[in-house]
Amino acid sequence: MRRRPLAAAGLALAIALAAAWSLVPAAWQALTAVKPDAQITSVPAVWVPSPPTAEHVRALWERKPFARYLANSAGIALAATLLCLAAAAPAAAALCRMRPRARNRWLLGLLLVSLFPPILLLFPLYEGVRLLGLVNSPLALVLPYAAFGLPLAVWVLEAGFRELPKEVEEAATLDGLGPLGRLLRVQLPLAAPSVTAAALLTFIASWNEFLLALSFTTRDTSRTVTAGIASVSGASLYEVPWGQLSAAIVLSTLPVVLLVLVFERRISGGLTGGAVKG
Amino acid sequence: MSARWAGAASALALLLAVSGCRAGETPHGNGVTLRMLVPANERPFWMPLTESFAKARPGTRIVLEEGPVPTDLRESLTTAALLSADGAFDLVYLDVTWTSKLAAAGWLLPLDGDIGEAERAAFLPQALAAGFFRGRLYRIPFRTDVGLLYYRADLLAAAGIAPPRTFAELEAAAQRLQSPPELWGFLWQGAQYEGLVCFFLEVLHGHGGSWIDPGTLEVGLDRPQAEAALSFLLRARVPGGISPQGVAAYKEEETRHLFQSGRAVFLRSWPYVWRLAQREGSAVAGKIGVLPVPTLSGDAGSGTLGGWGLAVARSSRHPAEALAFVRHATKLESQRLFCEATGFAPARADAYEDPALLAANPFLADLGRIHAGATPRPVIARYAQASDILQRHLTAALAGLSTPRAALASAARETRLVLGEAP
Amino acid sequence: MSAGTLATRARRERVLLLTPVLVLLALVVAIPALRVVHLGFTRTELDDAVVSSWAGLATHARTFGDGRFLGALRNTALFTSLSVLLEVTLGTALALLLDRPSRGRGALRAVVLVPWALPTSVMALAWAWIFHDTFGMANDLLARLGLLGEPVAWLAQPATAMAALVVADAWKTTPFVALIVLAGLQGIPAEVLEAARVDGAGPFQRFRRITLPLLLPSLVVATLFRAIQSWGAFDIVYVMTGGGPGGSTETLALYAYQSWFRYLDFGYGAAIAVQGMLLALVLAAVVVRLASRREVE
Repeated sequence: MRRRPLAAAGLALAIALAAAWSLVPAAWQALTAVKPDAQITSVPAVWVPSPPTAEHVRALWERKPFARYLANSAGIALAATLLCLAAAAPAAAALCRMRPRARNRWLLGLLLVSLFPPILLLFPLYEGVRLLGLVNSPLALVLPYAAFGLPLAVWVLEAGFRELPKEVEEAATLDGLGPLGRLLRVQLPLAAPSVTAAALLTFIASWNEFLLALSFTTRDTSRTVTAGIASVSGASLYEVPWGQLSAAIVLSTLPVVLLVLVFERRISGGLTGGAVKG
Repeated sequence: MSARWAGAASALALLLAVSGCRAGETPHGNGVTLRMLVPANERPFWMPLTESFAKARPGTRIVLEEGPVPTDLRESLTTAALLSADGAFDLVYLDVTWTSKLAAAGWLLPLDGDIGEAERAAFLPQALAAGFFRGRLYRIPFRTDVGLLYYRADLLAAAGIAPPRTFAELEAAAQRLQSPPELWGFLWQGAQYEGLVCFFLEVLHGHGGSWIDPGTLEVGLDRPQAEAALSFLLRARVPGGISPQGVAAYKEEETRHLFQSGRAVFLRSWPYVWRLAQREGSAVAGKIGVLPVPTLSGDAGSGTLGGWGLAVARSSRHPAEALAFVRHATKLESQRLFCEATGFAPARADAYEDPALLAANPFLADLGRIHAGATPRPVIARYAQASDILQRHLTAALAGLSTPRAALASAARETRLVLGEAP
Repeated sequence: MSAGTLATRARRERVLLLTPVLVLLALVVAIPALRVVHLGFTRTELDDAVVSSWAGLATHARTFGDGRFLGALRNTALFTSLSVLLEVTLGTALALLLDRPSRGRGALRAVVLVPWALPTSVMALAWAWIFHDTFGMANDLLARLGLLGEPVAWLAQPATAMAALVVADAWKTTPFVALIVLAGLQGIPAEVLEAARVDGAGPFQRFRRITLPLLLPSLVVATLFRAIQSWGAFDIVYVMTGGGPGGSTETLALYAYQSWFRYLDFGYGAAIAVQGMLLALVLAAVVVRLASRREVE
């Protein structure tokens, strides 16, 4: 196919715009985080800091227990992911063996569940957390996050399991493995890409969640990065030095950005897998 | 093999998750730790008080948690903390308007039994009254506020105008002396927030109107007096009026900056402005006076009562120690320390005769007098909702989205809906 | 072993395998959903304690006289329709771009996914900074491009605040739409498009006559998902504007939240949330109805 130079240039421009649109807002934060205060408040804006400064990161680290926020986020997201997979994997194994009509009904049901807006469930969940004395406990967030991740995790895992050749499973059954054994020894290892996708999707969603994290924690040391950052600001945007805030934004989002850039293939695969079924 | 990895990972995750909540609690031996939320800008001034308390009572210490400066954000934080019954705060530093909600929800410890008549008499009566709800005492006042009319004494004297007592006199003086946009006649807080309600109430009472009767829950917003009051605000903002258009977005600081740089003849604001305006470097130092807010008739108007006080959370595990700190913070020495440093008005009556405080802030003499006429906002459990409704409709009228009558009628209707639910 | 016992064993197995999911969803979704519906039928009073009592439809009826509820409803509808429109348009364009073979395609896909992965609440702060009236990047960029005479106070006026919200929301969710549409694009047989090209159809014609109709299912799915999610949007509004200026960007989710945690009006907050959800279902039904009618044509 002969590429007309104009079309090629147009394509390159489109790609550049798409990349810029996606990255510039986040990049602006990263630049602000290392910009000296005088350059932050200069008009017209100074885009590239010269020289870059670590002042904001240092001040933020002293002011707020950011290490705690990050540890809380990581721990809670990890625990939620594991719990989610622990529930989703058996369900996916059960679903992939079902007849198509029953299976689709289940998958559709899960889809409908995923459409419930969190705000609807917030207050009753809060009541439950309060009743069980779990305010400020990580468990208060791990359980809901695991549940919220279920629909997508089940979809992705089920699609992955269904692709596995039947013979391997049959061989495992003949070997005397029960359903759990088959799951752990055969299905999960063979469907590792789907497992990774499901895990990543759940982890990212848990890391990013805000509403429950905000409502279920009242002590600063129990907060996750999302709730913690909201406490750094305040409605009056003039209180907080923007340099520190940008540093906070960068620190909170760096882990997830790295995950996405490294595991992009898996994540896209997981999302589109669900979409194709839809 | 994969199962083992999964097991190890889960253990690690759970460890991380659990460690996330335990490690923050630094044990304090056998001592008692009390927690209180204070705004970030006041925290440094509270430290001397908490330190002196810790010295007087070894084994007890107060941890001051830093909260956001905007009041309504701290209200949300405090409400959320008390709602969660997590024991996060032992002492509550609360605004006059929070008492009713927090007390009605059953989260504050009644203090009547512990604080007797003799102790109560030490405080300014209006400030103390704000700590009562349904006849029981929940809050001891710490610092108090009342709405005031500041004026440029030099400008009025030069023009031979007497300080205004009525709205008409104020409008006339402002019109005569102003030369917008360098010098505006009258500045007030018109942004959509509690400050707008405070100012509007002064104008409303000055016109003989009423908002909500706390006893009968009767709403007076759709009566002619309220419409007249709102019209006064609107009149000020029309082109050619005595207030700049921007006043509809101003809060305290914007108006203070303008007045302090000599850009206004009259300013309605709170006592804190006085010290800052009289400081070296202020364009109006030595040139200002203060009056009670005006009324229709010329009788002394009643400024809106503001201020902050201390209460003990019912869920506190150390109520006795908490009460001890309340007493400590409202002692004369503590009041002197805090108010000298910050310029806020103390809540103790004898502080207004204290030579050290008067020397640091001679304005207190005038303030004590004007404070006697301070009027509280309605003490009802659903105050936050009623205030938000009023703010919204006042702003709509100020923005021209609604006529004063329609806005007030709508506000009255919605307020009645909200109150109809309360007993 | 008889066939019947095998079938029973299989069914029992299946039930066991599905139990964890069912338990989690019951605890976190089903029971709370029922509870919030119940809460909407109660009245909350503050009488030395927070007291709830049965109120029938009285609490729900309050929304009809509540100007703030109508305002929140209007804001939510506006925000949802504008965001979804922007996201589906941009997402489709992005998907078309990603579908084309090009050298940087893999890297582009990763880059394009970044906005979706970032926490909405954290990026909302970033967007508030970008739209800062004096020092923000938006005004700076527009000024440099010569498109702006005076700096715009984005978050200080209702219309521009809403616009800023929509842009921020679209930035975050466009990748999600793009991936769904991309999957749909990849499902279109290349031969059909090739045949049309040979027949002389230009690129726009090919898109309109062939691609778009075949993409309809994906577009419907994306629109539906995004519409329902936008309807319940909380994070971006709470952090970026707080519902301001003056409540002009307050959504139903925000009003419900305030009712619960600021006013302690639990029953009313539930009524707001439930009514909002019902309206979302109506919205979804409308979208599905429009889409299926389209397909019949």
